[in-house]
Amino acid sequence: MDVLSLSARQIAELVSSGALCPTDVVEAYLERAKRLNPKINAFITIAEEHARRSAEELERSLKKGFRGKLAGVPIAVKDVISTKGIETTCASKILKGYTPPYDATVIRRLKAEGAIVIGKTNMDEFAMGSSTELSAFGPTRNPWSLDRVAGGSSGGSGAAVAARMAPVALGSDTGGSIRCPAAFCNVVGLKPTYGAVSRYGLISYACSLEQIGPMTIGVEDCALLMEVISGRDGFDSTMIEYKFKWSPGDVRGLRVAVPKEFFGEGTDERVAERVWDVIKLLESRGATYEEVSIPLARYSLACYYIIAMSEASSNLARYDGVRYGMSCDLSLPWHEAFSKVRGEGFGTEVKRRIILGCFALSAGYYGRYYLKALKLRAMIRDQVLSILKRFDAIATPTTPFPPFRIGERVEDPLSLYMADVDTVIANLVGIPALSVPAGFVDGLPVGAQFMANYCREDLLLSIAKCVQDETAFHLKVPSEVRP
Amino acid sequence: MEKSGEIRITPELLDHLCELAKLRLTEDEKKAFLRDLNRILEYFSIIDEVEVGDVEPAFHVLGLSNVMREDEVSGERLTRDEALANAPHEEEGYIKAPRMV
Repeated sequence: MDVLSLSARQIAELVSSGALCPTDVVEAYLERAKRLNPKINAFITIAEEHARRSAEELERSLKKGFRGKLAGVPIAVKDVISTKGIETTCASKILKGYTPPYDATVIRRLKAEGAIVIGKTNMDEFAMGSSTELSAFGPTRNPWSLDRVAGGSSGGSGAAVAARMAPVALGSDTGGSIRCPAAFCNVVGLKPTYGAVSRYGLISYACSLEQIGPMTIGVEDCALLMEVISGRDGFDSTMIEYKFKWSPGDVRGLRVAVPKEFFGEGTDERVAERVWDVIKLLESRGATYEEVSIPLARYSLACYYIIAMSEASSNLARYDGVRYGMSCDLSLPWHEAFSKVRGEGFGTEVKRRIILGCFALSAGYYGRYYLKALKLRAMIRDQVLSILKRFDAIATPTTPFPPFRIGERVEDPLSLYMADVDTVIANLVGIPALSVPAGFVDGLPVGAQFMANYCREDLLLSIAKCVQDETAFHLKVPSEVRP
Repeated sequence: MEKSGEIRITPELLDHLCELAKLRLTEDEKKAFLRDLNRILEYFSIIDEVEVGDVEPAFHVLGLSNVMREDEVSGERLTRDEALANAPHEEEGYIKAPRMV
């Protein structure tokens, strides 16, 4: 049996029935992860010992009758999510050596269903980036073309799944950080409804925007992971009353809105074509579509960045070299000690965002930037929700262009921000959004994005399932990493 | 408040922001930051086009506020050793910080 080609659901069934031993699963993935990581740099930490120990423990529990929805399923976890006893760095020098004393709620829930963390994946530092080039541990390489980016900020998770170094992964999405790498790596990525998944143990960047979500090869595994990680948690007061459930439905009668702002200038025509192919495919299966306009969409990127940077400047105030991570110099006065360790510990993009956030929140500029962005956010939300009164879903490209070359955009922050232009709107509104493989442009994967109303992840998954069944793009394996 | 008019980050303002944010930058970083930050601000000025008036700002997108729970300790607790394990400097069961006064 080729363990590496099994879905998470299949692994769990075989492990639960005794047909497959968790240690064999873990060893197969560890071997592949260790062999490919020097090439891809998907993992910051491969948690070999932890994974082996967990597999042995699971074997003992199985003998005592334990059954779990994810029994024996190895999972790659973005390094922004706290894992007890496994170093968690956020891809930053300032957190080097930090080992969380507790598990994030999502990790607790995954473990309770028998999942096994096999490693922590690479990302843009503190999830600030769209290419996973801005990591203190070097860029992640796209398994489909090693000189290209894997997308970001959850690029390590996307690449790990695409290269079959883990069957499933967790990412986090503040402005597209799950969906962009999902599109660039030919995997499925879901950003859940704001408040559907606990953020407890997620190292904060922009609290009002971000959610943890699954990244998987197939739609069924995406739903399975979402089922396990979602639901109320007393440790996150921003959550809503909602327990996700999905039973595959067909797309007959589904009304799809296609906003013209997402297909115009700045969008690679070949990417737009792939997305249109997907929309036409849905039409052939009984859905209808109509072109619409979301005029305020053109302000969403600026609005998003002002809010995200403002929240970041406050959230990242906690890094002072006193309680964890890089040490500050105790011989200096406090303000010099803090300024020095922060100046040396944070990377360039993180510093840029802290400074601009500080600026947008400071006296004299608050009304013009931060408060204005929050008002604009409310207006954008209302405009999107009015579309979703008439339609079940909104279809757009996930990114305006295919995966770009490593180094191509990194020197110019604005050109890197443009990668998020199609995705940030879902975070501003708080609605769920999913990227599904939409085919290839010159051999490089691109994604179609679907958004739906609050708590309608089920619709997104049914749409993605239809696309997956008709195209089978998800079954393609990058030649660079074929076994 | 929302009148346009170019806003630029000057070297003095950058120093002030770095002081507020507790970030020590090198001279090279300062030069690059002045260029990049002003380009980004220029892009942000696109929002000047929109009249927002007295729209209610979206602090929480779903409008949740003041979620309360009983004031009880619940869930996992850390021992003192666990809480101190990541601190670079500790002394007699306390975290050691730089001089504050």
